[in-house]
Amino acid sequence: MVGEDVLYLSVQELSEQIRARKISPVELTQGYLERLEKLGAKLGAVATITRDVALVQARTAEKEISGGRTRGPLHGIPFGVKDLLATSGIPTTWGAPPFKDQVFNYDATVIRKLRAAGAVLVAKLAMIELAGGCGYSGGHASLQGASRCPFNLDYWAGGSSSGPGAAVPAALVGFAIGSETLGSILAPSAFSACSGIRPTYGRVSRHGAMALSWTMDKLGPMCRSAVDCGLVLNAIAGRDLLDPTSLDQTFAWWPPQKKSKPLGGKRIGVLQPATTPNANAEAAAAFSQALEVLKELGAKLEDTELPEYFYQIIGTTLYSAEAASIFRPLVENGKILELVDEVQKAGFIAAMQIPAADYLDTFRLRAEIMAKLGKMFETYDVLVALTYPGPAPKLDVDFGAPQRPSATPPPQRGETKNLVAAGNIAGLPAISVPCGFTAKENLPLGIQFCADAARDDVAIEFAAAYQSVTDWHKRRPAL
Amino acid sequence: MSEDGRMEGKVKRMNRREFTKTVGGVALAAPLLSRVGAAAQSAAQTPAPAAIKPPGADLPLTPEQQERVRSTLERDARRRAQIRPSALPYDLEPAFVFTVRQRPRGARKGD
Repeated sequence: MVGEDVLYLSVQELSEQIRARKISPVELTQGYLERLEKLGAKLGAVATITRDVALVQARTAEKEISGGRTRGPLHGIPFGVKDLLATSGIPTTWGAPPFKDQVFNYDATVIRKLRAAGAVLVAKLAMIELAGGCGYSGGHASLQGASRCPFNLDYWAGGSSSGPGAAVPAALVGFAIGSETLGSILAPSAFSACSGIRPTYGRVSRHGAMALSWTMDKLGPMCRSAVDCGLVLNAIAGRDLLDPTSLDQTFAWWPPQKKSKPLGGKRIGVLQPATTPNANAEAAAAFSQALEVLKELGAKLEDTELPEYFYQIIGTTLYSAEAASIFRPLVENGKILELVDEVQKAGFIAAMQIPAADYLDTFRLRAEIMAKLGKMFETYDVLVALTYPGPAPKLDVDFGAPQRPSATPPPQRGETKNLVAAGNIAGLPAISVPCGFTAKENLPLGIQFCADAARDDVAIEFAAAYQSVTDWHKRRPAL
Repeated sequence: MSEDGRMEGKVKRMNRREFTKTVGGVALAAPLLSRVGAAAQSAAQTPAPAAIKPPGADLPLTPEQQERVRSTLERDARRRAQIRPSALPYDLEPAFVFTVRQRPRGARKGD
């Protein structure tokens, strides 16, 4: 029986011990299954625990490794996936009541690739219904209920990859796969102290994943370190004939040799946090400290700003129009009314009326944004910013409620700091890693590194360098 | 026409506002012209306005849900009005086939 210390190890560390035969994949799998059964419901992290499948896969891995055959760093490592990835014979609910009994007879490409890498599927993890579809009012908007931040159970784990957000830092799984359309990997990574990467659009096949937006959906690893993100991305990236938008490029990233100044000569464009009265002072202070660390690692920092666009509105118009097309039958047959969240229902019905001209205009703006952001990467290796301006909201906060009078007024001319939305619109890779915790509520804060298109390796390199001299990502929740 | 097939000289670049003015006149005139010849036919062929409903219009919504849909439609329309581009170049085409392009290594400027 493995102890809690082992369950909290990174993929890299687990892999070394499995290869050295100090840890048995079967015992490791049993350890995670027991923790999932003990804490999964408390955290609202789980859709389905795949005990039987997991034990079969773990025994196979153990037998192969004992026989001298190793499939790579994920061999024998238990993982969970957001419940929007098709898994043959196992329920795939998309987090939504209308699909609570849905079972596919095939595996998503990511599931196939992870099985080929020898990883062990232990759980389908909770998510916001239909990945947030056309807006939602709070963390409760899920068939599985609210996912909780493991560091403070009164607060949301983030979404829409809520289950992975709650499960990974609580060591319910070795790593997880989430999805992002407009922040659904980065938000739970920041709010729950994961290291999560949104890969370049097309880097990972979307085949078998619930479609919310064909032009914005991305699948990516959520792990306990940036190095782990690289190791998992190695296994799931690549061209897939079943996804015509997948990139025809190989991807390989391995942990670099240790250097005293691993970011020597590298250039970072810094998006400073907003200095509005409502800005979170603790987040801003944590960000400043992180910048000092990056300087010590040898990087040259320079303040910059994004080109001025209404990124959030452009992003939501893009994906809402596509989601309206994808889920039109759900609206037409009335099953949309079975969703948990009233905001989501109204959002889908309203999205049916987005004018085609407005949708196309967002694509024209997207062409401009891609060109302008691409230009920034002629100057900088990465852009860095707080992933979100503050920590997770409390679970009882209604996202749709009118803003308090003191809240930041909506931008009049456009946004210059919304790197999450800008990066998603342009299909750029970004990784979020923990950079601090609030003092009173013990809530995680995240910093993001966004790189040029197809330079996922650069984003990981920066985050891994940062984590080589910090230990925010090693904090454990008291559960 | 140049060797590479592009029109030269006579093509005047037009910004979006000018284009809207030019095309707008035609758009205003078109319904009047068509009405002259097709008034009798259109009465028979055009469906009654009540028959054209967006998806979801017939859902059995409660008054609260109807109000929420109405306010969401209004809010979203207001938001989209903010991004309707007034200064996009006329020839800026949408990213119809969305693929990200990798910049060649070493293309960074300003070192």
